[in-house]
Amino acid sequence: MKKRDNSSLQTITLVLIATGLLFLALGGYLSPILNRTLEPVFGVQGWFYTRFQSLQDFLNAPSDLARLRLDNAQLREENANLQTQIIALQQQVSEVELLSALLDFARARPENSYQAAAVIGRDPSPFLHYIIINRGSDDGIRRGMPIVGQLGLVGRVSQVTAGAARVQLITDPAAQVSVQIQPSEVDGVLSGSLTGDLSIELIPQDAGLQAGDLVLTSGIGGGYPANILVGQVSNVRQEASALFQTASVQPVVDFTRLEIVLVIVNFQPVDLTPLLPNGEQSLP
Amino acid sequence: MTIAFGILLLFMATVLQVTLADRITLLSGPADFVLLALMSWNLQEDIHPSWYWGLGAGLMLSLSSVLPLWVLLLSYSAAAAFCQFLRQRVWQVPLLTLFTSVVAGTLIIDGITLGYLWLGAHPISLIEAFNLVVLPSIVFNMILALPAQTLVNELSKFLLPAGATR
Repeated sequence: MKKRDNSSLQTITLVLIATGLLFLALGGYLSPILNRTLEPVFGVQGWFYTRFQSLQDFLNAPSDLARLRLDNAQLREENANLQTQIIALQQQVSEVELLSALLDFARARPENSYQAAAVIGRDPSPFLHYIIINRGSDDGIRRGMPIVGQLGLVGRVSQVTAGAARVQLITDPAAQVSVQIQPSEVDGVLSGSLTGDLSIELIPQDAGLQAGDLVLTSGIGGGYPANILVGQVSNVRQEASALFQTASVQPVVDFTRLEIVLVIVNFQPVDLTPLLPNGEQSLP
Repeated sequence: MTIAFGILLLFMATVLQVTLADRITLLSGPADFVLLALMSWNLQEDIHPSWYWGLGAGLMLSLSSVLPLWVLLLSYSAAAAFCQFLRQRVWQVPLLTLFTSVVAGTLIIDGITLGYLWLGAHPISLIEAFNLVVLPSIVFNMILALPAQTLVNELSKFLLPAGATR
């Protein structure tokens, strides 16, 4: 009986001590003691951990290095593939943008039928401004058909083979296009030059031209359809002693960056040569 | 092997000429990659120079040029013949031969082309053509002559085994 009382008393004492310690710990009163007690323990633990980690690194290093090299090679390969994909996608995006612009141009003139063609070369002679496109007589391309870009007139087909055609650009020194200047509605003849600059000759002196006026094909002569944008007047040269004035034209098409063009396949150019006296050329 | 390499070289030069030359110009004068390849090839030590290579160059260019075949054949074979003549006379100074051949070759090719266009009533101002195309082309070709010669020299050494060119 007495033993049981002693046991109960011990249990109660222990519980009270434990509860007291718990409350002291919860109240934060034991923290300084715990910190001081655990500090050397943590130090020893840290020392062991760092040594063990170094040893583990040393033992695993060869396999890690091989794995890292493998990962690196794989990542490099993946990076190269992704870079290639990015370049391909960028090219596709620019091509889609170009095609979209060409489509807009074609939609704006539903009366014409178009055949898209890629530019595959240029004439090697610096005195001639010609391009080669990858569509020929097999695709319905015929001599004289006009060529347009996404913004305006490019030129016309001069020679055709089965699978390709040669296009004379309007910047060629021998190219001439009958144009009309808007809003003054003055007609003139657009000529190319060796440097690729465009100018309009034979403009009457009394025509009121200004920089910024639009230049469109007039359709006179039957060489080109009417109302295709060619460019804008950039400069007007007027001399009192001259019969006509001359205007420089800034083309809307960038002829150095032609990639895809449209051939107007339902336009039949009119050859006026038989109607003209001997020795005269037909109007462009 | 030598002939195959020469044809391949001229073909590559023609492709460059048709696709690239128009975009890299000095004023309005482009470099003539075909002429540079032709001269560099004709001035290789182990190659016997011949105007026949000019015929090959003209033939290749005629596939993409508006100019008549005979104009290209005549101009490039004349340039190659001049190079051949010069190499036989000034063989001890290869650099002088190279630069003289390039200058004379450009003048010959552009001269014959301009002559044909002028006789064909093509509206080209000869003075303008000389100032804006011919002179810049000569300068451009001279700038590229040495690198082209070195490139062709190294390529021929690399691709043609010793003695194969003889």
